[in-house]
Amino acid sequence: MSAVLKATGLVKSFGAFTAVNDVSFTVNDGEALAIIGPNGAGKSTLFDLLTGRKTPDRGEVQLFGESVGHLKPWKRVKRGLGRSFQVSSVFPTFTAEENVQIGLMLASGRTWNAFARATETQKDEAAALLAKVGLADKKDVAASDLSHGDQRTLELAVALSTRPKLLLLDEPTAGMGREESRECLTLIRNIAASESMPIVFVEHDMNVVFSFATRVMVLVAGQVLIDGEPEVVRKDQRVKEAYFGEDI
Amino acid sequence: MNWQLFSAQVLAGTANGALYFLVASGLTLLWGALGVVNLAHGSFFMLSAFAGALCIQTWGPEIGLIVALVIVPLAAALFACTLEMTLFRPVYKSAMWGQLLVSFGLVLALNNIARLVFGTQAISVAPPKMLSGFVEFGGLRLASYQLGVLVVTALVALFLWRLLTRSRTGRLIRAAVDDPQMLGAVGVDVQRLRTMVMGIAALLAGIAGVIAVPRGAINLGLDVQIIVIAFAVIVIGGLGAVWGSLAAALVIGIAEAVSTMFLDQGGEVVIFAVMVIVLLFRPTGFRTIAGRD
Amino acid sequence: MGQFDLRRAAPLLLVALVFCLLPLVISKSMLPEATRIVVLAGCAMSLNLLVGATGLISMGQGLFFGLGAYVVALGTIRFGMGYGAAAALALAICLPLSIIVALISLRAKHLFFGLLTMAIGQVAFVFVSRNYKLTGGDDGLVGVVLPKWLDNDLAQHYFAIIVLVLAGLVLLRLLASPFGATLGAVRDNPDRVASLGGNPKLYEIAAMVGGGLLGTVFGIVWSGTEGSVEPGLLSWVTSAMLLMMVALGGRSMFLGPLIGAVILEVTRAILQSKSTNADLVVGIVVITCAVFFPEGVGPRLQQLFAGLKLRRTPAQTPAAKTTEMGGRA
Repeated sequence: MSAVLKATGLVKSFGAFTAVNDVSFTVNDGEALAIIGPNGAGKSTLFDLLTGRKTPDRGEVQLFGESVGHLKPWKRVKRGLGRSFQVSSVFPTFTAEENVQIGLMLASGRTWNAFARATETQKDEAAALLAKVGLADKKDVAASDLSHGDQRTLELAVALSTRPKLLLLDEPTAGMGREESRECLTLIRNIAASESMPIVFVEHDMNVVFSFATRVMVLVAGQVLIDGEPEVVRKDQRVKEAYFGEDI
Repeated sequence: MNWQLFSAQVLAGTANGALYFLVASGLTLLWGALGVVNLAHGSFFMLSAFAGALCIQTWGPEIGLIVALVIVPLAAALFACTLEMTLFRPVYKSAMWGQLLVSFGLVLALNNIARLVFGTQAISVAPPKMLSGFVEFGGLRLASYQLGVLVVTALVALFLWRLLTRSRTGRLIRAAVDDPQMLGAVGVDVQRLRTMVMGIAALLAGIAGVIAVPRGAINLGLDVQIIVIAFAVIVIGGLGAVWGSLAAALVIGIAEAVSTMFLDQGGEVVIFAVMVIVLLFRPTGFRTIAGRD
Repeated sequence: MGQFDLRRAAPLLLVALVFCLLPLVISKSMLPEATRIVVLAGCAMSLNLLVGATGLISMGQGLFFGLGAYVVALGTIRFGMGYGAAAALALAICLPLSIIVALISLRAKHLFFGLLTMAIGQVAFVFVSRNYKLTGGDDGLVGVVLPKWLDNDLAQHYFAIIVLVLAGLVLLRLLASPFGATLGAVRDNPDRVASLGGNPKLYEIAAMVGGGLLGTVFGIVWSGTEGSVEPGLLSWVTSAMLLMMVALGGRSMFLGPLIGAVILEVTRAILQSKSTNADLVVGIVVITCAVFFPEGVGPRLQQLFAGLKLRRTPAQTPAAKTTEMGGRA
């Protein structure tokens, strides 16, 4: 198994507040790594460091064996990184299909074309991708009109449009009910399997985490508490304490 | 180097800066804490100046100035609050565009009204006898009125500081600058706060307008002139930063005044050059608000 | 996403037709005023490539408008150039200038970006109005030398309309293309664009170059139809007025800026001949429109028409999915 993502000694502070404090971990091919931890533990900041949205004060990120240095997010996408956001980050004034088309166009470098017709560009591919995630019947609905759950699913479809080789999902089931979460997770698991794509996802819902992840990493106050197999993590006393006795 | 001229320019520039600060400080709070952009803020300044000039013409340079200082800023504040409640409130829901449009329309309308009420002639009046001379200081002659302007501004700045640090309203405003979302979440009556801050801003602009009168010609171009400078001060000083705008205003005022000694076309170009340079290195102005655009 | 078809182009062509027929109904003395409206409408439309399409609130469009006008004026009056040659020169200067302005002003975001564009425009304004020897200073320049075919009011009017239509069609095509869609995406969510492989700033710079070039085009036309230039063209007052036209008419609608230009300028033109208080009435009109149509007069008109259509054919779906500016209102 080769290392798809390798983070070494990442540190990020905002003034006196250290959000990420010496975090290191590796993601291998075929893995589904879940990052869990209480609110404010630094998970989103960690994601920002991995995707290049923020630059670390110290430490290094390697993608597929090569250091990404301080590469900007759009350059990392070219290397195969894909990301979804915790707060639905779709394009609200465009329809679902158009949202995916934009992702496809950016991936295929067609965005500087000032002559073709945008509505026709990669329309079939977009429809196919939407069908894959189960939104085919909503392709002509404006993204801002979609239900919250559908928006999260669209978020996933848009992230997939760049054909990433590693997918980072920031709380993909945020705000979803139990049934919707389960559907979303099944979807993610199927896609990960069919594309044999490693996934790193941040989650709060423990059922989701333990039904799906192959490895779990617990982040508390910006530091890695434990990183290992789900069952091991679940039984760890420190993890229980970190969640204040919550039954996980 | 003509030190007398230089010192006179520095003093004039500082006094200018003081006025810019008075006009800009209210605006930066209004925008930074409450997200209200009012292009017609300069119009309050100009109308106050004209009203002040009228008072001085009616009651003489001494009594007129005192009367103006008492009545005009309050009238300006009242006027601004009324405008805010009737015209701005309906448009807050459309982000910033409604406010830009409303205030743009106000600039046009208020300028026209000023022309109708006060006429097209520029007005110049003399300063009060007590302050129309010079003060000797270290071998330099400094214009008394300019010093007077500095004194008044310092008093106002002190009052503003007390307001911001001691009163509940002041603390709310400062907190809102750092986190605009917080106000609604804490259950504050944001509507009333907006009206109040708009009033305070107009009050400050009113004071500035009145004390500006004995210094120079009051004309119908002042509204546009001062709002541009006020925006420059806000940009350089940082959005919502009152003391940043003090620093920025003084820098701009002095740079503008001193540059006329060396450059033929100094003045406004210097202001904008400073603005561009500061923004190139610090896109959020002197004060960087962490995590904010 | 925008579409480029007859249905979208029709309103533009219709408006052009109305302007073409105007000389038949209005008096000769009013014709230059009508031409002025056409040119300003075109400039406002070019500004909307930045505002409505890309989400960049520029307060410096006057810079490019004035650039086009002044280069043509200086070129033909002082250096004996032909109108076409001067026009080409103006565009050649505009290209690097717009890139520089973009690089400087895009260091900031939202309204700060706008204030930076305003500052740059003001620097140009002050420079031009103080340099009497070079640019005619505050008095401006008079007597732009025009080619024979452009020598009369009527020809100038149709010239302006032709340029408006051509520029409009180019914009429509651009907005309907993948590039146009990406501008809308950058407006809606630049972070998302970044996470999908696009550098938002590159697109913003491209939009500023496009908007600048088109602004210069209409400045060139202005010089031809007015015959004179003055520094106010470059000032932030002109830029603010253009921005207000966009806001007034509706930035999410392709013809919004044109509607705004018509409202502002027709009101002003009618009043100026009757009284000196045009500003007051225009100001009140603007305030009223702002309070009652905060998203612009255009979109409200569109809704009204859609409502009317519904009554005639109840089978039609009312959901307006996408607007002409690359997304939904």
